[in-house]
Amino acid sequence: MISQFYILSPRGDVIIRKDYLGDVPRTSSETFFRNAKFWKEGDGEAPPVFNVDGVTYLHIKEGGVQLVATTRANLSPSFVLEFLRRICTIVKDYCGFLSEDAIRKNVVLVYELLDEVVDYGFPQNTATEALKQFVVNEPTVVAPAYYQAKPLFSLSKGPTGVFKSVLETTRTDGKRRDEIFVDVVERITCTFNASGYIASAQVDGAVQIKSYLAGNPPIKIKLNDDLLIGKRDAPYGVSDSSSNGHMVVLDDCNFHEVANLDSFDVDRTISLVPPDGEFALMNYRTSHGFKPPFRLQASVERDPNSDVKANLTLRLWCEVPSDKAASGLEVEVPTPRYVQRVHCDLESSSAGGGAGGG
Amino acid sequence: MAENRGKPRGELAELSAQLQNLCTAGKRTERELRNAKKDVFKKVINYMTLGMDMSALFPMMTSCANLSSDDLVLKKMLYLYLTHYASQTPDLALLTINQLQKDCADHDPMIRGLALRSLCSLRVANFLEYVVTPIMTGLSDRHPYVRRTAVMGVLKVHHIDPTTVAQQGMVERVKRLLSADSDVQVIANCLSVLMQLEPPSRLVERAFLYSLLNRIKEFSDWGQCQVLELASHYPPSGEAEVYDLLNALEDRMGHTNSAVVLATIKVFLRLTINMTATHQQVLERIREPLKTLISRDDAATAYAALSHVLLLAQRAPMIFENDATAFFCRTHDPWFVKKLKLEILAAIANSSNVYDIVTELTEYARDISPTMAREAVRAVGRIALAVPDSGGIIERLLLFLDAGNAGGSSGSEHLVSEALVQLADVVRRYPDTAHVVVGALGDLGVYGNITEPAARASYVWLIGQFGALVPEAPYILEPFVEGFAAEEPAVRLALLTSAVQLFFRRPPEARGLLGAALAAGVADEHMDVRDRALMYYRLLRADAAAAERVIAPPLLVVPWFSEALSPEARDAVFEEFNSLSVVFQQPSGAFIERQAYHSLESEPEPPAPAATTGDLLALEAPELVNAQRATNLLADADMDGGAGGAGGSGRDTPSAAAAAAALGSDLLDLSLGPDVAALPGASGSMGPGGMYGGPMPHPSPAYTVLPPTPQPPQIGSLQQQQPGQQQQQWDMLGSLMGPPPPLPPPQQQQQQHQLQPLPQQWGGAPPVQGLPPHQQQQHHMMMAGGVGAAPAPAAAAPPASGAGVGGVAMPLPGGMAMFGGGAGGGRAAAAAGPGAGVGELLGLLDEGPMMRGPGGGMTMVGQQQPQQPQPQQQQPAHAAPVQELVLNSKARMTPGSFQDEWRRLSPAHSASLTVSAASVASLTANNHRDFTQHMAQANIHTIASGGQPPNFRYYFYGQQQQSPAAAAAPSSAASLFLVELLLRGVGAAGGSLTVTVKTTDAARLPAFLEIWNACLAGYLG
Repeated sequence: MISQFYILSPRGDVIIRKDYLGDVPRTSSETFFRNAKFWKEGDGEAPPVFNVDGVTYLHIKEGGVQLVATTRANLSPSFVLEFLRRICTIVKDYCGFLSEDAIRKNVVLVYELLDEVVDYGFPQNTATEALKQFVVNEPTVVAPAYYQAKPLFSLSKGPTGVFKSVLETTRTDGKRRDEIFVDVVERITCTFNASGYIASAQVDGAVQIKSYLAGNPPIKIKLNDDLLIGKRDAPYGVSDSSSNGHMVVLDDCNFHEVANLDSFDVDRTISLVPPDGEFALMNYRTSHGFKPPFRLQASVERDPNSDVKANLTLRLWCEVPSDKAASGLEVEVPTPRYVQRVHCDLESSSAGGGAGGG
Repeated sequence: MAENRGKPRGELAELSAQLQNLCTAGKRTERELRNAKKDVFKKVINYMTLGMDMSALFPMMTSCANLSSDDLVLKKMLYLYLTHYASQTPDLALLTINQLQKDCADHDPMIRGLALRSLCSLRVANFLEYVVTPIMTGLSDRHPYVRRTAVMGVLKVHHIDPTTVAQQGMVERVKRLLSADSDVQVIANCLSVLMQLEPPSRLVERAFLYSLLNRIKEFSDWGQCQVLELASHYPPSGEAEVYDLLNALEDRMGHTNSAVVLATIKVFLRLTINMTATHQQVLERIREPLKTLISRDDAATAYAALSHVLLLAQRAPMIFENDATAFFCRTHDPWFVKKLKLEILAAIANSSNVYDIVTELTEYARDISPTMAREAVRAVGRIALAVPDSGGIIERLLLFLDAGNAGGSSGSEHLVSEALVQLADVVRRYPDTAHVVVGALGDLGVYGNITEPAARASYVWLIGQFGALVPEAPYILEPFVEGFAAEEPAVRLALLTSAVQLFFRRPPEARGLLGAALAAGVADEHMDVRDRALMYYRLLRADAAAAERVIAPPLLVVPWFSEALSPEARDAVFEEFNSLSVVFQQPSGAFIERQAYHSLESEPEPPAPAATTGDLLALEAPELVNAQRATNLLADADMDGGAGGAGGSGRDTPSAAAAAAALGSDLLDLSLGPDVAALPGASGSMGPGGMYGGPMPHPSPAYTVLPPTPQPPQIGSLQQQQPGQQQQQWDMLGSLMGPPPPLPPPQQQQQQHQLQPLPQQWGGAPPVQGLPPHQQQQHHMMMAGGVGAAPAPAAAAPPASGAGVGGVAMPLPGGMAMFGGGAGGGRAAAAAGPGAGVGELLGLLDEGPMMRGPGGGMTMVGQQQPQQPQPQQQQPAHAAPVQELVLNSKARMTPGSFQDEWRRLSPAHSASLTVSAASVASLTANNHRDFTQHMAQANIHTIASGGQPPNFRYYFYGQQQQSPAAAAAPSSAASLFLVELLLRGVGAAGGSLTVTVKTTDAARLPAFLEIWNACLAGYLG
């Protein structure tokens, strides 16, 4: 199982350290940091799993810190990485936020959580809910120093900007607020060809819930009636996008354990008793005829006045009704290394935004 | 925090004062006091995490927490601190055992569980007796939280001392819990623990597995993974059962946790492995869940899932053939994800999807990252090799060349280079495409533009091979030949070949080129280049027609290129589905190096220079305190005997073993000369020797094939013999030479001991003299050679008491260290060294898989203990004539009692000697472990060792072994010997050793000193 677990700050300091099996030297955190920082292959970013001198290092990065597990056994990589992910979520649930600062302010609480979550390198019960009875330390909730504009294409951030510890739900001083946040977060991947038509498109979506309801009352969530789940409802490729008219077709989806799907096939209702903290009720994926919110057309022309210049024109249409506003839109144009200088013009009709390159 | 690290002393003193202060309530209210304590405790834990040594605060921490023992927050922090430092300060940790035990019986299950978990995590072997009872009670606790903690405790104890677990029947208790408990987390823990202790295939049993699978939804994600892992080892009874299981687990595929999904996939694949049609269905079924996993935003888990997709795609490309778009890269994918996706795309390409894939890959070739662009070109090349209808693909590759042409030197060299390398392979696979490829090469201007050796070599090779198709070929190569010496060796080699090939195809034009190339080649300083040039030159001169057949034959079609991984290795990886093997694309043997659990526990912490003043011992022997703090190698009293096996295998590093084996193989080469060929046969008959794990004095075949020529081979043959055999030779030598050599009888005894396990080898005749006559004859013959080779050391060695055959081996010390070392370590486990060493060595020569006998790991141990002090104990009459002394191998002493005795006794003996720098290095090597273990061989145990270079301190103790009768008599206490060894290293000049001995029994002191000196001298060599 896991021999060690530690959390490293961006500078390589160990913020949290637990040693379980004692078959990996204490100095492994330095070995890890050195290797991860100066990775030779690819673009210098270390892969999530690598082996140095017989010790396998598995790590994920979140909120600027790195969570690392070391092992000498031939474990399932998904198992360890998912577990590290789970630890992230637990820390977020209890400390409100995951960052170097938040962990440093809650060192003892994090140790306490780890103690319950891992025993001798073996994961124990990791449900936020179940852990509550074992936690005696008070969290010091740290909101991020500045409210960071959330990038548009990001699934992992979860319900927007809630930095609150689940331990708040046990408060009895009248300041408690029973809240639940349900977000549908979709990540759309589209490729437009040179003439502006969609070459490929896929949506990866999730229904993210963050619950702070005291006493965990049961709730129901209803989805569209015209939802069709490809492989589930019509297995082995009977259905095809063409035959489904106006249906919303999902290629595949999976549900969190708490979801009771008894009536899902009848009226698309999911009943659940939401556990405390953050979780993804449902993940889904589709590539069937949907309309992307943006369209993009790009063209490159040689500058008639110069041999060493080219003009790149990007046309971006927004298909969202004009009464809706998007925030945090970024356009990124990767350019080859030999590009010396970039100059950016925005047409007068468009407002705000920016472009980068170099 | 970096600035804090610089002044740990200040922090430590400050915290110490604060804690002292908090031990008394003063004027504060209870509440204030507790909050103040919590603040200080938090600071201590912060520093502890930073790696600062806070162990000096132990007493203060304990008393502070005990004074408000009902405070759970403080208790938790204390236990955290305790588990971190207990193994360093076991004597102080002992003070808290009582409190922990009391908490284990608390009425609150949470506290019971917490205390039990902490108690089991102390990792001090001496505390096991205090741990066993709480675990046994905990296993039958009424609260599941305590039970699950107790189950984990069993594994913790097992890793420290397996015999305790066996004696207490703990595993059986865990098994009973596994089948009877109602709580899923307890079951999951039982399962985890048992799967560590025995292979899952032995645990899995039908009714039990079904009961688990029926409840699988109640388990946590991690518990489900364990259950599924168990299920993957279940042998189904028939097809009907397979379908039942598949249906039962079907919904696990839709789990959000990728670990559960992959574990399920593993079960599905394993169950249906012998049912072709169903296996195919399963592969179809797992496709969509896998695609969902890989499209997650979390790169790390997606990466793990992609590795598995790649493995499946390589085995069964057709399942993903219609899903190429799912593996198209996204701009923001990290490079490792992109790389895997490219490999998958190359694996699944076939004639139906190749156009889409190659079009997409062509786009990636424009990636701004050169690495990605190259990977894309490489993938196109691989697809061209794999997909027969490759005309279109080759055009794509040629387009990359054009990219270089069009842009001039505009940053596309990496594309051109990679494309050239790939094209050279493609042409070898499809020679009829040559004219297209070569036609595009002509005006590439490689000479000036492309710098990569591999690309230049490919280009030169293409031009030479297809010189007939390129009108200006000789003139293209001319500048290369002119700058011959400046090229890389690979390019030079290619140039030589191409020049000759061109010469055969277009003699008049290429004659000048060939001459220049050969001249430059013969003058080259790179050996391969020169050799090839010379060979070509001589071949051409001798027989031009033959030269053409050799150097420029019609191009051979290469039907397939060998894969990076052999099919066997790939199957092995598939066997280990859902493990790290898949990510590393290697069978687990290639990257797993086991270490004994807790073997690295006592790594030196940054030592705390501030000694605590409160410590009583500080007055008497302050260095002892320091030594203990610094590294504290608390002697493991069970180091000897059977336990050595576990410890030894942990210390074995394959590289070192391989190096030793390589060294040995050199020697074999040396001695055998032309007879090396006999070795594969030898390995066949000697291999079992390694497997027996005992030194086998059977005639080595290598030794029988030796020609009866004089000296050198004889020395070599001596090297190869098993140690027991060597001793027999010395015996034999003795009888030959008349006066018996002063070989101490204990060695004879040892010899007997070595012979006994192998009666079948010797026809059931255990006594030494009972050798079959012909064997004796052989030894006689050998002896003559042996005597001629090394008579002097033979005479010199025996007087040094305890000096084993290792000392005899002067002629070739390297090889001898290996075999001689094994001879010295006469214990059953350690003696396995040479046997396994030879087995390994021969396995290596045989180029077969490395053979590892059960004692394979012991080679190192043997080396580390080149001397055998045991004989003295076995034959006390010879070793210690004054007063009989046998040291107790199981002597136990706590640090506390050692300190007491050390204070009480006065020095009985002291001595000092100077040692060389090499000895200093060997003493301190491996964190002093080699040395202390060596001493433990003589039953002189280490209680503490440590220090900072150049000064080190060791504390040893030995206890007289009492006969049962003496032990029964209450009056006679076993005599005790305490030793302090002070090592002062003085840089390169070596150092000095100061020994102080204290004892309770002055009468036996000389006997002890003899053992001590022999042992020390044995180590220092």
